[in-house]
Amino acid sequence: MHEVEEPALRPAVNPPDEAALELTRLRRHVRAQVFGGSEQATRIGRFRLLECIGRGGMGVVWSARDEELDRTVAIKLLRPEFSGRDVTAEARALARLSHPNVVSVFDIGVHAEQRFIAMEYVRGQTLRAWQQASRGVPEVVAQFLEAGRGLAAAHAVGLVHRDFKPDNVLVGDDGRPRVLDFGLARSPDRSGGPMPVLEPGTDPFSTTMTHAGLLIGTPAYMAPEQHLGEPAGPHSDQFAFAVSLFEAIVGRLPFPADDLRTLSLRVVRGRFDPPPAQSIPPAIMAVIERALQVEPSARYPSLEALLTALASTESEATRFDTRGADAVLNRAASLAAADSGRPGLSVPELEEVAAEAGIEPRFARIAAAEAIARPEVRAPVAQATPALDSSLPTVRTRLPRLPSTVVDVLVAEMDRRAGPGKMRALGASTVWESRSVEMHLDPTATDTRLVLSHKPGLLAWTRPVRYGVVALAVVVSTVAPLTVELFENFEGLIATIILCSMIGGVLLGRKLAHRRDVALLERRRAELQRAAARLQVLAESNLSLPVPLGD
Amino acid sequence: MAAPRDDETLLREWQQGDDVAGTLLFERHFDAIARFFRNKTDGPLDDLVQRTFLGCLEGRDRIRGEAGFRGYLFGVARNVLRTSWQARAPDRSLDEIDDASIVELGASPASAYARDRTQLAMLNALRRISLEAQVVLELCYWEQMSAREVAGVLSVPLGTAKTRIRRARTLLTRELAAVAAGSTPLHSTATRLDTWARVVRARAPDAPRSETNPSPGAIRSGSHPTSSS
Repeated sequence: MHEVEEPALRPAVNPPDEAALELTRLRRHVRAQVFGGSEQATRIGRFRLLECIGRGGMGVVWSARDEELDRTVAIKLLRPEFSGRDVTAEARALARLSHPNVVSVFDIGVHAEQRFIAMEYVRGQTLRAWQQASRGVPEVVAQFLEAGRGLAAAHAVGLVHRDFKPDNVLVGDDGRPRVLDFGLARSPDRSGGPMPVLEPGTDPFSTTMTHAGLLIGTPAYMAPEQHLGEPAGPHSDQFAFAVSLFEAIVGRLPFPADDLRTLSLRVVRGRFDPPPAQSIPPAIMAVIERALQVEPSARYPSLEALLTALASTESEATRFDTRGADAVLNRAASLAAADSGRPGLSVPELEEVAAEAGIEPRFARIAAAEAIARPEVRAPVAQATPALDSSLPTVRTRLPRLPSTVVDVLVAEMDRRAGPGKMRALGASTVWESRSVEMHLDPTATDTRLVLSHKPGLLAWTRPVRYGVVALAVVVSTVAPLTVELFENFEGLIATIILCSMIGGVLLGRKLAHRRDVALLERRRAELQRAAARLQVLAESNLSLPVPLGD
Repeated sequence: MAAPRDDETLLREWQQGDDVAGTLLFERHFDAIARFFRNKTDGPLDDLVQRTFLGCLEGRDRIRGEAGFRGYLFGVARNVLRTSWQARAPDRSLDEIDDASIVELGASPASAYARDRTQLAMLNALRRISLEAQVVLELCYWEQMSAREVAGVLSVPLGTAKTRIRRARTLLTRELAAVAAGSTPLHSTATRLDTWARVVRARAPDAPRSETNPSPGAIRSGSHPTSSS
């Protein structure tokens, strides 16, 4: 609308863009309200626009009345740059797709050279709004299973969503989730052209396009292949589905980052941040982990398979109905600075990441991502057979024989996971220990034994001492003056009272420390198992590379 | 239509009961009011724009000449805006709303309203400075208001308005500089802002604006600047 520009003065201060049609509707509506008279209808085809109900990078959405069929629909009008191409193939696929968990498309057409889509009007809220009310894990999983069925149905007719996220799922007032916005835009393909990159200022939670109108995706939910500018496939939807599910249960993103660049790097390297053990049932986490694999072929063979695996965790989800404390974190905390922070990866950087693994940059980059970052956990966690002693969590497992370079990689990994530690050699063995965790790597003739254990010492010592000191302070400040007055003549008694209370404090401290250790036992065990599994994968993947790559 | 009548004439006719004149005023200022709310709130504008013009309708008999019709209208719009944000943050006073940025108050980024990243950076920077500073700057940028008109909108003396414009510009420059750190395309925004600031300083704040720089609003209404200067 505001096409008047004075290049020298105004470009930097252009007012916000508003869809001309929305301005027209708004003007007519307010005029009728303020000055009376009947409101002149604003139309797209046979649809009379009622209210603006949303907008995004691709266009504006209204509720509208279909006056022929006398029903309310939602109409999305795409920006001109997304309207140019022929969408008949996808429109036909969309029209074929009728599924209770997909928002139905009624009509696709062109209005004043802009494409519009008329679809089912869903009264309700987005899945994001739905999950912000405190929901139990079983409820969340059930909702995602349904939404996933909608996605799978679309895959079955050859449609890929490319931008699945909680904002693109509508939960109707009937409680049924429906996936929205299939295949409305073209994604980057192999036909050449500039490599799509995330520009500075990109909102990690908004659908992002290139200037040519290609859909890149929503950074926070994008699969590694999308971050690398590859075309998205059904496997990318699986990844986005897993990110969304993780976020819904744990309350933060699996790849938390302060800026776009870190986000991209973490995603393409498969560096996801394990959730606190109490925040998510391990069986569900295992499903999510597989769907978050860097390499598409390492994910589930299909979304259907993912859903089957997820459905089989339902019994565990039911037992597990308390959500972790971290669930209160919201997206703002996890990616707060993203839109003002550093920009995303540039083309040269993407190429560099690819070159690190000696791979041709464009469209061979999945392999690159895989080479620099093996997936978090490939073997099921259970394979790292834990041998537990009753008081201290310990995990023992066997790794292949490791050259020292790979040992360094494992040590670096432990530094990252469990805080900086000290490494020393004990004969052929390597011992690494931080404040709370100890790792032993003992080479044998055929393999390396890995022992990961929690150290008992620190807490068991510091607590009693701390309580002893507190008890002493309390006694000295309150009891002692009293006793001095009362038992002036029995000096030995004063010393005894002080001594007794100190001993009492130490004993109490020991007891409390022990109780806390027991309470944390399961959680620590799970942490160690996860760490062991990760070390195993790291060891194997680094062995298969000519040059080990660590952090 | 004959030669366009100016705001003051239309206002007088409206005050005397001529609703056609009222409608003309509405048509003339509708875009600017929609633009006023667009970058300072999320969601539909229906209610905000409607309340602004209804407020104007209610209060039309009290409108005096000194700030001009436009100053009065934007004054109402500003109050509607502050009240709507206060409804979302009930524990804050109106003054505290003025001092907060809409991003602090919970607004999302402006991605849906920007055509390119330079514009996006600017819109987002405006959303991150205090609401009052944002109001002041957007009135200067998009409505090409003089300091005197801004003073009318804020109901403060001219000198105070000038100080606030200056402070707002400093805030925005700082915000843009923070964004620009590390990303070259944004530097150009900051540079152009400097150019803009220089151009603005070059003209006397209250001198009649040259019509070589018409605002989009001015083109439509044909009667700006208002007779206040």
